[in-house]
Amino acid sequence: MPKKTQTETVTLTIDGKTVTVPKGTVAVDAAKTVGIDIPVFCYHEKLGPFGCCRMCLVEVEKMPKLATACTQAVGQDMVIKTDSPKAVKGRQGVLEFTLLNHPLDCPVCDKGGECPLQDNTFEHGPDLTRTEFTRYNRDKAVPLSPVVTIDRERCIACQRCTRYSDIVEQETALVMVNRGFQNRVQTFQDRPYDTRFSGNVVDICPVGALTNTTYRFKSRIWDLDNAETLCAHCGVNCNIVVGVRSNEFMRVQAKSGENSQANDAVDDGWICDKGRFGYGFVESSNRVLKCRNGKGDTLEANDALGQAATQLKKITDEHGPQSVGFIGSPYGTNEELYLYQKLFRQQLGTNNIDFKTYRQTPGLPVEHYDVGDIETSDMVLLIASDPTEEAPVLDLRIKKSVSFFDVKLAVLNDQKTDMDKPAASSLRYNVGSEAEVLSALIEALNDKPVRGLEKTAGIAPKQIKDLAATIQGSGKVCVIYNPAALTGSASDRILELLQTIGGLPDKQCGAIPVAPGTNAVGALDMGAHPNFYPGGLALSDSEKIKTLWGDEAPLQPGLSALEMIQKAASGELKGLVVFRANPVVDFPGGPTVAEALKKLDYLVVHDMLETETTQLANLVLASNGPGYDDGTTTNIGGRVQFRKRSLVREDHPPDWVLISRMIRALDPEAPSYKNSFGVTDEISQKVPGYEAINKNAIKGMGMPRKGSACSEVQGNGAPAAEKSENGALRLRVANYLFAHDKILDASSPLSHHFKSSTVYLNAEDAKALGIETGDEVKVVSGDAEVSAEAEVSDRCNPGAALVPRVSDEQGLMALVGDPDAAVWVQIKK
Amino acid sequence: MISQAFEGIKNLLVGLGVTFKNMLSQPATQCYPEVKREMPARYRGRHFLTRDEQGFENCVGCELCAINCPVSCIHVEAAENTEENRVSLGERYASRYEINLLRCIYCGYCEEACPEDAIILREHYELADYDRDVYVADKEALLVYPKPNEFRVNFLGNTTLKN
Repeated sequence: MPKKTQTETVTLTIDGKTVTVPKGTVAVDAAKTVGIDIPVFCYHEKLGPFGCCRMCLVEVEKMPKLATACTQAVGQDMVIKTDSPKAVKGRQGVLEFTLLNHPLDCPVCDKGGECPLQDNTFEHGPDLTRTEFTRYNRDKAVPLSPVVTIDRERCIACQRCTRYSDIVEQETALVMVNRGFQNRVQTFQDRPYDTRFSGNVVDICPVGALTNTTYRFKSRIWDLDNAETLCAHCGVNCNIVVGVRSNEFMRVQAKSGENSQANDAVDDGWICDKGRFGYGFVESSNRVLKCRNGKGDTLEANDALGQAATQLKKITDEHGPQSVGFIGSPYGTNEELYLYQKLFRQQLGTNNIDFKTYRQTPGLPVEHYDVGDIETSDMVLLIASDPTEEAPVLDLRIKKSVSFFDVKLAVLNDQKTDMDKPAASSLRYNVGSEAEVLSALIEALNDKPVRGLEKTAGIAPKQIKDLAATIQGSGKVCVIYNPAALTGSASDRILELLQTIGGLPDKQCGAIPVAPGTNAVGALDMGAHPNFYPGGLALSDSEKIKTLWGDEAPLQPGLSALEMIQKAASGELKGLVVFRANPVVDFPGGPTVAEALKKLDYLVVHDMLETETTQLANLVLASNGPGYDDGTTTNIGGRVQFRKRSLVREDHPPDWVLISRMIRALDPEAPSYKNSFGVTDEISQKVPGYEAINKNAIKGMGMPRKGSACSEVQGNGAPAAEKSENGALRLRVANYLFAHDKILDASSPLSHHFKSSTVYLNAEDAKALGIETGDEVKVVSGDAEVSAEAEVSDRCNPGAALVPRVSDEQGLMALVGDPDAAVWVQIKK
Repeated sequence: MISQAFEGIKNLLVGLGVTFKNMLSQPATQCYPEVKREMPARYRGRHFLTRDEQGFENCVGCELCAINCPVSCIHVEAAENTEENRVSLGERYASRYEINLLRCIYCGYCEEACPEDAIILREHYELADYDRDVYVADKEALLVYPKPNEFRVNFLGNTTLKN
């Protein structure tokens, strides 16, 4: 992998064509620039040169033997011949050897039709086989994991998969064992190959040896209509290709070099297993297919949305605009969230709009870095974020940057994560002390003395000083943080920290907020926030708001999602629209949220899957959701991309149509849109920062939107340390992307990733409580309790209980009250 | 002029000769349906799916017939053989195999493409019926393997064998 910064070039001749490429380029890539295709198996541009398959033999002048073009770095005035009789004969011989024991499986092989071995044999291979012996038979259809099957007969030992496991995923889970004909791909002791990125080996396998178990024999590749679209799980928004046959979902592939140009600014051509095998929600039996009222009577979509609009208007007429609210979701597209906030702000006159339960304001005091900027940074500072579990493809990018681009990784977290391994330094602070730690880091960066943190945060001042020195010594710093994991005033401290780093001399600084959800950045940009209009316009910016949104635009601060639940409980909030969110399970409070929602006069739930919240609704609006709806999303790097639909639903309108019809039901003058890009065009006019976003601009690779500046960073207030009572431990809820929820239901092929409810305790606390690993315990807070298996480890510092959210049934959020306040739990046997 | 007249008479007689010859010969017309024509073995009539000696289906659901079909009248869906449910000898079999016989142009490319000799076109030409729906022949209709020139076999709603 050549460094991107190299500019020195060399000029050479390939098949009579003159080529000028950067120094260090291998001959295969150099030939590609002038349209000469040298066949390869083991070479993959993301894996680097290897040269074991010998497929790419070419003749290089003045070299006595044929050279492998994938390892041959080009030199000045080199003359390469790819079509000389010697080279052609050499490749033919190699292919004859490769095909020696390869079965004639093509008609039944899943790779047939998109197989490099098939294509290369057709193009460069011998016409006939000279083998007179029977082929060597090996194991067929051996499951490597529940989602990847290996056919050992078809393997040509190119080692792409094992190198992927070693270089990209860095788990070294797949290895080659034995020699000669016995050579095979295997995991250690035949354990399942169950990493989070295992599916990528199916894409890069140049033969049909590694196959997707869920797609096995389902169709031939020429049957598929491929839709280049986006994954709709975490915030990275990886580019995927969804194969559909007769409007039936078949498979997901990464958009990578094999089928079309990979989007290096987003995913680098890799996707995680949830993206690949977690698409089953489009055909889930749990889907909301028809609108219905609270009694369960099916309604026509147009009647239902008319009812919803008039009923909400009636409530605002009777009780005032503050009596209705909207809880959105980071899983909606920009268009859907934009239209919803427009409905609530313009037609209903309220700012009660939110999509999250944590504190975050739009805008950053520094640049919003794209995911690709991680590679060019000198240092990555990872704060309170666990990319491996929350946004897996980001994990790959960080590992790549550390291994190949000499990026220093510093981790600041309250839990031990997989990122500690590649990290140059990793600090683990006490759960809940992030505000203090960040304050101390800001002080250290300003060259002020750092106060003692050992007792409250579990970190020595020297460690903070060292970290500050590393930041000061790096030119370009990329801060990656998870806003949802920052409690209390830490959400202000992080902005202050960014401002401080950005203000250091000769420093480039940018940040990537990695909040849970597909489109959390877009949701903030679209104004799904009670105190901010779209584009990060604060309510105080009334002049600008009035020019964009008219004189009647509401300027009274709205209620946050949690406040809406509280007001619903007290009866002040009468009507609520919940869009693709499940507050009953996901919001702090658990069952108390359900009680509050029951008190509402009118609850509209607009969702694609049946949830605990749809059960309480007075009106359920069916949502098509990802897969069936077009729309744009903004990823964690601020890049706006188009999420094309892969499947067609004709019996129900898309969500953006449904919402725009609700607006038109209240205001017949409101514009109607021809397609989802009609809404995108309105967004580009109304949302600052999105001016350049339109259909053509975001085609292919997407386009970064302009991040809004941070309104104001609140000053430093020393956070009050909270004390535990009666030996209670502070609860830390960790998020898992591979959790057993409504998206990955029981029928999901990823059920091997589901974990049982576990509480991680520090050895010190466990000893005091007399708990050992494997004990069945109860995590108790007030009336609520969650059963879990105890695991004693150094995953968190003493004084804390770390519980990952592993399923909807776990009921973990019932333990949490106000997310800003500390949650103290007792661990009982 | 006389020679021209002779030439004319000669040609007239040649023409009449053909007429008289055919008057006396057996007519090519056959009295269908009382008499059914024996078709040559390689006539491209209706399609059938074959089985091997052990009774397993030869078709492996590779869809090469479907991709070769110039009028796209074949629809195949494949599935995996299991120990409990073994349909063909290989790893894979056609769980659904349908031919739209109205759309088919009987070109025989499917037979040509098949790597397993699983689909063949036979000499069966009696394909008329009153109902369009039956023209989508499914596996059940295609897996019968009649004797040569056995007509109206288990198909088109008329299952009686006639010869």
